[in-house]
Amino acid sequence: MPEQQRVFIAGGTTTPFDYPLNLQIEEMTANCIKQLYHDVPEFHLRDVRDHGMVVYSHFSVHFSHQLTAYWILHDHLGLVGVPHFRIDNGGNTGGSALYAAYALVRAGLADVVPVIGYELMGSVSQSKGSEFIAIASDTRYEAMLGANYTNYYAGLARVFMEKHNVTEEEFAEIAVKNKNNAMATGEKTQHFRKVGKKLTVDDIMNSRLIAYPLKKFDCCFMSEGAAVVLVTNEKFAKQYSPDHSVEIAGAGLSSCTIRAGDRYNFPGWTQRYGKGYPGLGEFGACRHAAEIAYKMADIPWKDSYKHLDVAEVHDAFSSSEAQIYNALGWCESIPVKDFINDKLPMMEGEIPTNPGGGLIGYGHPVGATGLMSTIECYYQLTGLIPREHRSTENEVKDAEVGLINSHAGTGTSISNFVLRRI
Amino acid sequence: MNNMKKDLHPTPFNKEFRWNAWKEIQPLVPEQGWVWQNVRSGEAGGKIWVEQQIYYDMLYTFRLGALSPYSKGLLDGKLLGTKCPKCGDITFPPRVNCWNLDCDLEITNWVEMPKKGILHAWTICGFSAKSALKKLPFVLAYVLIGESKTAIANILHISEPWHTETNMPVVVKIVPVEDRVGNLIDFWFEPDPSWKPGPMTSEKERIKELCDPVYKWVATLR
Ligand SMILES: [Zn+2]
Repeated sequence: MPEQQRVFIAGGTTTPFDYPLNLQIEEMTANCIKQLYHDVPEFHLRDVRDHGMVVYSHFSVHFSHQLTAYWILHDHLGLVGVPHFRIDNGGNTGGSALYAAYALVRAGLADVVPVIGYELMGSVSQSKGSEFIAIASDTRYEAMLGANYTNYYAGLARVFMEKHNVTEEEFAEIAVKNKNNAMATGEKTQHFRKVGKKLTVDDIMNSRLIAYPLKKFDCCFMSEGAAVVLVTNEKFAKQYSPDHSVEIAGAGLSSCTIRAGDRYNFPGWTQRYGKGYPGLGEFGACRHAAEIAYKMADIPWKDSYKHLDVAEVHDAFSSSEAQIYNALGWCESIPVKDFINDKLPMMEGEIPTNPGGGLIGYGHPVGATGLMSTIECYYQLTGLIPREHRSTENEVKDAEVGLINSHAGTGTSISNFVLRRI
Repeated sequence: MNNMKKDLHPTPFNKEFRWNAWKEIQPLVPEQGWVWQNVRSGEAGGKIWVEQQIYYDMLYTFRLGALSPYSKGLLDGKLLGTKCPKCGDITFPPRVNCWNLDCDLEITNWVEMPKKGILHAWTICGFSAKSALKKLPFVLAYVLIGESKTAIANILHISEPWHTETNMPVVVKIVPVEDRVGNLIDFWFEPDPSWKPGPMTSEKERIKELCDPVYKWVATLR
């Protein structure tokens, strides 16, 4: 029987994220692997052939006008005979694919597992694209209303505002942070490519209404791109990146209802956390996944940010980032409102969150998104920001412990990981 | 084993179906499959780039199976939820097996829900899917109907959307019988006639201000 192994990340890279990106998935992926050859010269796909598997991270076959699009990639990369499968878990596809790779290496079934994520979203009109995303809601009940995901998220955000006395401006502060962090990350980010300048809270507040409290600039934009994360066991991590590897010290995955309206009294949640939780305002799956990951990494849930140096989280909307702070246990001793106003998640704060720009700044090509968050966190923990970013304005110096969060549905599937510098 | 089998949802034989209740609502959009549209080429960064456009369509049949009474209920102008005979949990939208692990996937019973509820969560939409653009700005609301342990999302019709308030009582309105399709879009919410909105607040003022350009934009839509 294979033996349990410790699991590491030994490298990672993304294509630029943009809409459209004007590329096919083959060259997006080949570019990422060749970039890895450059960044991690000891790594070669031959090792995947001999000691590994590939996990593909891809959300929507509707967008790719192709079923099993990863079959195209796999033989394009020369990997016939190498085991492969694809993970789709909504917006948490990237995090879930990372989780699958983690599980494979942890279980000793593979030693080198590239997680390859991609999404084409510009293959259809923007409105068709929103519709495709909305069919991840329950189509028997929700899709026919003509609402899109932003509309559902806004409803949750409004509950959160009321419960925690958070304002539109406080959400806007988060959006500004992420947009402006992306400017330092540079030309790989959609905000740099598309807007190319720093924004202010007024810019967010004055942008058009999408669904109260969310305006255009509170939302991530549709984007295309690919990303690769190199997951390995200890032996390969030491061989590939003796000075630039991080350990996956904790991995948590959890789930919640597909329909947000079903979260007041779900027996499973009531038994775990008491009546009424999470309701519409909280992300129960995030809390649960964080508890699991923290426990593995020996971090307490309450005020866990004090044990973390940097975080890359799933800010599909500025409001969801605030909800995530709460669901990660960061706001047990300080209300989420003060957490934002005291600038804890800003670059100068105690837990810089989304220094890479997050989804709002970097982009959200679904299958690649959670991997982008992983890669940005990995760069922070391995001192690679000066090499990778346009400026070091968004570098978290001497970061040792990082958190990554990937999030789907209206909080329907969520993964959290703790990464540790070694 | 035989006792267990009685607890399963039945699987009908196709030959037993009598679709006498089938209603041809309108001629179906013909399916066309992959239909070639356009090709173009251009230059950027000193290279040639090509785009092709191909139309692809499909007609979905949603077979509602055990959920059919819910849909038939809407056709008949009723809201049907479910109740677990073991634990008593009522849910609307319905669940044809109980969600409580301790109830061993007990098959639930259909119960008629009252046409009123409490609005629990809401947003004012300023943008939406294409099909709903002309209705903007509209209120998306989650409402707890009767004793349901779940809330259902639908549209709240309210003349001044900024007056939407958490916990306001709402009533369910159902479209005329000839327009019913057995889907969520057969009904909507309205404020309970006894309800009066509270005074303007700074949040209501702000929402009103955000809605203003939306009304103007929608007026320009064809
Ligand atoms: Zn029950």
